[in-house]
Amino acid sequence: MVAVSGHPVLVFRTPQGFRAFSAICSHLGCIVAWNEAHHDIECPCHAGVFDTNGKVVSGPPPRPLSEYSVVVVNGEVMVKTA
Amino acid sequence: MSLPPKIRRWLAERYDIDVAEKFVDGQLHKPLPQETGFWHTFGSLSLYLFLNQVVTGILLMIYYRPTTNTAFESIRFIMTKAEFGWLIRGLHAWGATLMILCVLVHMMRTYFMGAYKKPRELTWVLGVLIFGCTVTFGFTGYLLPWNQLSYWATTVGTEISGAIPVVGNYIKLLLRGGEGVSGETLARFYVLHVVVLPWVLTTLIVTHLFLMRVQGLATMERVGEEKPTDKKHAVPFFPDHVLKEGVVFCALIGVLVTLIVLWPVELGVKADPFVTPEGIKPEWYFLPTYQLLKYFPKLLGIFVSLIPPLLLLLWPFLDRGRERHPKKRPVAVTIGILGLFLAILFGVLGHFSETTITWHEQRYQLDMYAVPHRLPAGGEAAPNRATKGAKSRESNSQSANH
Repeated sequence: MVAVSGHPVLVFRTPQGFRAFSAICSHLGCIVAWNEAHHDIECPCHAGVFDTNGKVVSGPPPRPLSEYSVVVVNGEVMVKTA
Repeated sequence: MSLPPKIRRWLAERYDIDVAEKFVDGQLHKPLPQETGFWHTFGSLSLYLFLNQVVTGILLMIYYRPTTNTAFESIRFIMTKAEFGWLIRGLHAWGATLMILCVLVHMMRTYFMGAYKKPRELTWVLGVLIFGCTVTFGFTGYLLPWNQLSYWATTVGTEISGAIPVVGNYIKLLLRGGEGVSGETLARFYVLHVVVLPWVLTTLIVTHLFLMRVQGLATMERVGEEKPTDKKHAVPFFPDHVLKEGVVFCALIGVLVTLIVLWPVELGVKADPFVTPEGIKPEWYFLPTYQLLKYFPKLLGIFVSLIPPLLLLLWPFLDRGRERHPKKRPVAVTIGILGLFLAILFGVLGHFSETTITWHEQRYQLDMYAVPHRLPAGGEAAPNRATKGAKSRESNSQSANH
């Protein structure tokens, strides 16, 4: 979890590379977290579950998580805000 | 009751003291209908509790600092360092809960005794507005300690308003003072809580009391057939009813202090906008709405949850039958009991949803709809996506923090 321009962003590594999603749940604005045991992203408020593409798997969220583009520059992971 | 002669003479030289004395005497000895009993004291208890909130609120304001860097710490100071600070905060937090409870009981008494009927419709409407104002007090006050539960409950609560078509986002922005819940939100809620709402509520209460005094208490007679109170059988306001109120007031103080001592109000963990803790639940009086919202898509949920308050507000204009006695109003009484049952049911479901409970040595995981799912002995919650709420979470202790 990192702060990008004051917004909480979830960055994780997949076999295809780094992915970054807004950590603000699309349902009611709680902060989602990576669940290592289930290999998914879960919201603690109303049990919304998202997959590693940010898509809704179950629960009440109406939209997927917003995705940020990620680039790796000189070994540093950079998250683009716009 | 009369004034000492010297003071009376001094006042009489300046004011028409007879008129004032006659008014006070008339109010003090106002004959109340025979039906006036202990159930009629809950309105006054709500008023005492409001006064308690004002006095303890003023005392809390001496040390409370409404900024994100100081709010939590100032409450910690009140709880641990300030002389009797724990008691003052306890009186304020538990007083709020009891005030909502008393207002609710008072409304139920009015409903089941048919006291909202003509000519007292507006007194009822004002009462519903007083109830709305009281829970708004609860909602705005809940954020002020700036702890994790209050922060996230406010985030979820204000986010819901964003789903209202057209104006939703503006309302959300107006409430929060920005994109997320921040110091701006804290300042807004503080101003609402300590300046705006107290005056709004005071105005509503004064008007409510004025109408109640002018029209007198309702009897159980049919609409239009109320007889003037027979002085021989009437209950004098003073001393009879006031004594009754005194008894209930003493019991209330006992309950309040017991609650403060046995279930002290917690402070929790300071708000962290980057981490949402598990088990975020609103205060008990929002639990039925919280649970109801889960069964509908966001927008539809808002409309459905608006139905009960709207029904309450308009009820005197919908139920225009002339009978007041509950035995002669089967439909209204059935609707009242059903509404009460649903509110309690949804509240209980909301309380136990997304928790793990043990029943006869078997652990059950309750999903977001509070449907129990049997857990394997000693194992962690199975990641069952179909249940939506599948999470292992030890029971509900995080709810209802003031």
